[in-house]
Amino acid sequence: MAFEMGLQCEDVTVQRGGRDVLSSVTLSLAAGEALQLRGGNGSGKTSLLRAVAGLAKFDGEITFARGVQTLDPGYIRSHEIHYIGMESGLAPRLTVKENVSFLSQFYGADPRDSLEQLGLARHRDRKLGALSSGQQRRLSLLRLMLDPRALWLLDEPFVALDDDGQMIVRTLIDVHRERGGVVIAALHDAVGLPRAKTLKVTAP
Amino acid sequence: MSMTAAILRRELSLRARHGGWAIGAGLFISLGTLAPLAIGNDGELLSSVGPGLLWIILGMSVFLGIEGLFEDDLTSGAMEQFVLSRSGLVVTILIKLAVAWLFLLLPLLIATPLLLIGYGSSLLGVLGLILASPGLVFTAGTVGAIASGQRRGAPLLVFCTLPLIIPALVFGPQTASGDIVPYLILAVYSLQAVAICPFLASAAIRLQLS
Repeated sequence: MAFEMGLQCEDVTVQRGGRDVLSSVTLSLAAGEALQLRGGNGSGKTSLLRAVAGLAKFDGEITFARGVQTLDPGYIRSHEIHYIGMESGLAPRLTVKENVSFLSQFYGADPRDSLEQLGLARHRDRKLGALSSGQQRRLSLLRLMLDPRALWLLDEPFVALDDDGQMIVRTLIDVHRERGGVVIAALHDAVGLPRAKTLKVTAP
Repeated sequence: MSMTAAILRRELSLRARHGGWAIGAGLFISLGTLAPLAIGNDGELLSSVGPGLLWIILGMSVFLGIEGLFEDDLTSGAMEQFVLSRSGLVVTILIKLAVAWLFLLLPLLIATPLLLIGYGSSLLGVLGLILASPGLVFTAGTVGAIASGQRRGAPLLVFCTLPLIIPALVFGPQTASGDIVPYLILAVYSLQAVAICPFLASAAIRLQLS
């Protein structure tokens, strides 16, 4: 299975509370490419990711295309985009096992040994809210493994993760790109993605 | 289909653990039993004002039980994931409101007949409560979605929802008479709320996210 979706942003600006939080961004990504967004705190990295995901209002144009065929953004956002933000998107009141069984039923996929791969098998019966932020972050990666989607939007994917956890993210990203998947990651620390484009974003 | 089943199962276990429904039911039962103490030792008066009182208490318990329905999923980032899912946000909101309604109604189905018998009033009020409760919960839940993320969300919820539950307050107590019209009006009140509220609430949640 391979993805063939590309993405184009033209002159995208994001406003929040009446002022620009991201000045005009133009970019183009083809299948298999990765982009790292660089910039200090408040430079609009997250805003750009949320605009692409359709979670934030934006001016300008964001188009998804397969070859020369333009795709319906509404469909793409509900079927082909994973957004992993700073919050895990999981239920802290439920146990790890319950969260896993929800996600696997929700995405209609068998989790198999992904809990072992994420290094969380020992914590199966603990409440997610009782785990460390790094462990919660690891579990939030499960979506990426369960549901194959063409475009991954990752907000600070390495934050709170130990070396082992960062390795898991890198491997996931590499495998995804080999399949033709596109990755946009907001990063502010020195570690980068290999063979990735870099875009410096600034707030106006 | 399995997607909606997954959301439903998640919501049921979250709601059971959240405890908001227990606070709502607790308030209803305790105020319902305490009210006669304030009214005094007059059986006739109690049987006539009892049902009306119960409807006011019901409104309060709905507000208290529904408060914070969307907060957890908003802060944990789960709402974003529902927006980006195949099923979409409206279905999720509909399930959340329906489950909240179920958890509110079940304890009240036991408590209300007992209280009405205690007041010496007609048991027909229970039927009215079943008919009106979806409307109350969906309306309060929608205002809760608008108020979520605001400081002082709870008072905002109470004051903004109060005018919207007037139909239930007016026609609810009249169900005791056995006349068909109040029942029909309560049913319509609930139907329109169930039809409109999931869309309003999901628009409100989307605004919070952007």
